[in-house]
Amino acid sequence: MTGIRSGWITRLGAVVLAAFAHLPLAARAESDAMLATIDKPVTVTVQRAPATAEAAAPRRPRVIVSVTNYSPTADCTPVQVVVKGRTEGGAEVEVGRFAITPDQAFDAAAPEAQRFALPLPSGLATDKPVRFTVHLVPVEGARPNSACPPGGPRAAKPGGASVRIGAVEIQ
Amino acid sequence: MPVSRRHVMLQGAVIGAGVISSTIPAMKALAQGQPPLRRTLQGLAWNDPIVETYRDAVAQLKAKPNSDKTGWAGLATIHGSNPGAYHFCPHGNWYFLPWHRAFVVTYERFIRKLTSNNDFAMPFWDWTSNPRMPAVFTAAKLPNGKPNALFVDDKDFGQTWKRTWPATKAMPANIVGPAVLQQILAATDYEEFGTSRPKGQNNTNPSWVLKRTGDQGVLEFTPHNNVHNNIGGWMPSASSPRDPIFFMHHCNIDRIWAVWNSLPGNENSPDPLWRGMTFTNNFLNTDGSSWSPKVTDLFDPEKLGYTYGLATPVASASPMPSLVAMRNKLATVRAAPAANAEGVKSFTATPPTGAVGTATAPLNVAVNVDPALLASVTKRTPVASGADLANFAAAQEQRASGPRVLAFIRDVKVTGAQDTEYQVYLDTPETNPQDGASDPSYVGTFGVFVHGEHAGHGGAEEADTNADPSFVLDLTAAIQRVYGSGMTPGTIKLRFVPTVAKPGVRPGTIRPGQVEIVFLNT
Repeated sequence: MTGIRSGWITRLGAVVLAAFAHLPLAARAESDAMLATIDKPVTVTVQRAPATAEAAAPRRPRVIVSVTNYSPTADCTPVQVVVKGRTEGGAEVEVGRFAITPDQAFDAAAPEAQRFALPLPSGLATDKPVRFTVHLVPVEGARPNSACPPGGPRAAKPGGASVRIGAVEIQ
Repeated sequence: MPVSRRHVMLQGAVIGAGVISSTIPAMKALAQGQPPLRRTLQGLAWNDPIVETYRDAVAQLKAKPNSDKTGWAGLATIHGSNPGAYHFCPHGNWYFLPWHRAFVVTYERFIRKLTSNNDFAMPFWDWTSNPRMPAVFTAAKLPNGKPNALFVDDKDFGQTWKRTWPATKAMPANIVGPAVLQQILAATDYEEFGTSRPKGQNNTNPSWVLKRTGDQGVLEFTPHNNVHNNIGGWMPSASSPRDPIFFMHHCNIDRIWAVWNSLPGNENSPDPLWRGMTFTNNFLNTDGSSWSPKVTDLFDPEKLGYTYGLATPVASASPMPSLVAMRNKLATVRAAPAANAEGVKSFTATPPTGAVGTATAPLNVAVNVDPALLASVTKRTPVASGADLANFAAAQEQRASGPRVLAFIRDVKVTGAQDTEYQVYLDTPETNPQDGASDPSYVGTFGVFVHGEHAGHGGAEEADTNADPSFVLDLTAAIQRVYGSGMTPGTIKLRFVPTVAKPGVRPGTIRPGQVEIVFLNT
């Protein structure tokens, strides 16, 4: 009886896996494309929206980067997100950098994403499309945190740090 | 060769690099009956009364059981229920600044009560001016052999909590440096400066305080977040207030808010959704009862019992007395090198014959000085970063109102001047030229303008093109950063490091003819 049940569960599992395997490739690719890891930045091209009454407010142009998911490094060595941008034919410039505090994993649906507003460098404040790259980089000179053992309260995930970008927009 | 006035080039950029130093309004504030001044930790030795009071209070709070809500662990639960979960504290929305102001005030009040020292005000860690962790926090034991309550080596929640950022490493300039501070202070409205409202907020229900969906500003997401994470131990967790340095970090965040507010046109948000929020039962009074301030109760530091001295008015359009006196002293020194006029003490040294500094073997020049004079410099209150923006005249006057140290680097012979810049550091075992201007011992950088065939010309007057150039650097701020914790040696060592910016280019060499250290006192 037990053998029959386990065989049935195995077959069901295979069906479920097969179903996921047939998800549209484009959707999966898009999803992966927005996940930055230490060795793989996310690239997003943004076309600035035409000026509106709201844009006339006395606020510097900004790049809003929303983050929907974050995992720290397995040993909790600090990492930071570095955002760079360039227009076609222009040099790449750093837009800004940020860290996520507390340095622990989170997973949020889009409306609850954490949002980071970086002042847009003047060279990128144009009507041309801007290609942003979002890098996840270790902090130079930092060490693994003492209080981050596997299974500890900060939910470090094996396999390295990652950050999922929900959206990049220019305001 | 006699050094004339034209040989000493007072290079504004170099002076500027070295001058970030100190805020006298402290004394003025006290004298005028204002509340105690929150001053920079820079220059405070382990036995300074401010440090002693804080350390004593932390030790008393730590001695209480974790279950005591007025103890060290208990008060920290106001911020985070445990290392993995925030309790009351807002991050990622526009309540971040006022809430943390109230939180720091809560501790300040407890410290005053526990130590019976009503003059105490929380000092701040000005990481822009001094990006290394303050030395009074990093030693496990005090010089007298007793345990240092400001050091972190805790066991709780089944883990060991220790800071992991190297004690002698500077926080990177790209998270705490002057350019970042400038970017922060350039924000034009509160929600850009201090993080915006959470998405969709339409009332003042307290649940909005914990929503993290505002657009974080640079102040919160760069220096605030990065410094928390980099320090390690408790600091990257929701229980970050378990680390005593939390309050020096947040005191600096709070000070930057006060500086931003002091700049013309920078008003707090007028929105009633922000102003009208009450942090109901979030904080404690020193008797253990609840303190529930409204956001508008938290606008004015002076009403909360402390000051950053930013309100000191300077109405005069003409230079202030100390500045005039300092300029006169400088004129004396430039006109007559090695002068020992009233208020001027000069010490000189010549590098050993044949010695030159290279990129791999920098040149060190030691100048014997009077340790008492050096101590008088380290005891000055440094000008905090951002003070120039808040009140330039007051900051200048403060710099001039006390002893300063200048280094006259005379008759400098260089090679490779076309591609080389020459960095100067105070020479200490921790000096790391790789960190450049982020290194606390960094003094300044100069270049030598290559003019026609006369490499080595400093760019002064045309009449003397063959002369070896001379430079003057202000050592005051670097001395305060390096020796401010109480150690005052009898020798100032300068390290000369040739560097190049272009890849593949070999740096040149440097050899000063003489190094003169001048103490000026108005």
